[in-house]
Amino acid sequence: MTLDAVALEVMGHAFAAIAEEMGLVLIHSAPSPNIRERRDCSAALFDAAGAMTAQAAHIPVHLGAMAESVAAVRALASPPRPGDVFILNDPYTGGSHLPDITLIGAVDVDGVVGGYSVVRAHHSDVGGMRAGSMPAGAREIFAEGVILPPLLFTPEVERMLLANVRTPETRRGDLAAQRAAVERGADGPPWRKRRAI
Amino acid sequence: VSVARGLDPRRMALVPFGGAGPLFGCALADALGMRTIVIPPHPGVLSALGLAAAAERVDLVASYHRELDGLQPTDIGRAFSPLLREGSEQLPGAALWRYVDCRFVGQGYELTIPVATNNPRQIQDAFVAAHQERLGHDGMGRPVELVNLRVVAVREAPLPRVAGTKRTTGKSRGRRAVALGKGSKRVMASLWALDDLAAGVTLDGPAILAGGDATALIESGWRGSVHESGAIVVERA
Repeated sequence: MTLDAVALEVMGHAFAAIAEEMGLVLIHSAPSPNIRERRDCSAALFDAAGAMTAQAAHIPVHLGAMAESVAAVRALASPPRPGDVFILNDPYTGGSHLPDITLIGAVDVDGVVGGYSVVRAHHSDVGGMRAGSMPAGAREIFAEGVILPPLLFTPEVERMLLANVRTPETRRGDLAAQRAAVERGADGPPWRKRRAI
Repeated sequence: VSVARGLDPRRMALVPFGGAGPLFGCALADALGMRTIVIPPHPGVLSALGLAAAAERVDLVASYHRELDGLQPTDIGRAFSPLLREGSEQLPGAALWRYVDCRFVGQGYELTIPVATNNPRQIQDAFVAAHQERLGHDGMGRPVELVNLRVVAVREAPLPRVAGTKRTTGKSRGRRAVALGKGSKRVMASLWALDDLAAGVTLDGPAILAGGDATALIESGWRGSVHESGAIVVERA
């Protein structure tokens, strides 16, 4: 497919607008102040080969490392299928520090994985030896919190995670908002679905 | 704005307005790759017409921070009544629309939803449906709270009757030599009365349309057709 200069500009802005809207969905519906007030969260879109196509003006350290989480999901023994959503926070397979939980959605484009919709957010507790999951006295990563390698984000995985954190109800709300943001990214451009108000 | 949101202006129509705006419609459409221009009736006073035709409106808001679960319909009705009274006092005869700002407990942003009912259960259902639609999830049973009550009083103004006026001109007033664009040769342009063009008249560029509140220019390569509203739809010839 070839694009002229105008179409390239229009498409570039369309993808950036999708990433911005993903961030708004998360910030406007997440319950934890860490996401809705501090806005410690980021959204981006990736192509089917795992290269970033658009990012919102969010947290540079999230966005810079995000491609590693898409690569980790693409490297799984059973590859992503269209519509799958994965979760991870393991710094050694695509994560940053443990409180940054990343959701990676494999976007269904005509029945194949056409790209990835990715949202990373700092969850204010993921277990470990101290509330907040960034303990100064930790001698090893296992003291910092629960470690999630790239996993299909199923209700069972969510139950296991919520059983290991100090504020499960807030986490549940933040994860619902984060998943909704990933799904909004997979929906495509905002004008495809006309909304009221 | 359109490109910034990923919308391609080439598929849209350009609406030039203001006293001189329609002089530049064809040039701007050429630059943007647009194929259709709609010159509205009375382009020089379009904004003033819109202001005159707009509904009168008063927005009222009162803080009312309560969880929906503990409320009775009478509580909500009583809380709305001072706003409704204020709305009908400020704008007698106005239609009064009621809204609530709602959120799940713990959220930092509200959704404004219209409510015709005082029933907390129905308000909650309407909010959860709106949240699902706009923010993609249903809150998974989290309690819902009201934050603000709003009343909007709206009194419609009479619409301007642009379509009803009689326009009869079907012929050009004459021709004039004009130079269009930098260093271009003079060409003969037809002259027309912008405010008096009969519906269905075809205007081949170059044509100058002189009106009481604006002047329009249809350049070579474009053709205008007068709509029954008095608007002129200009497309590439």
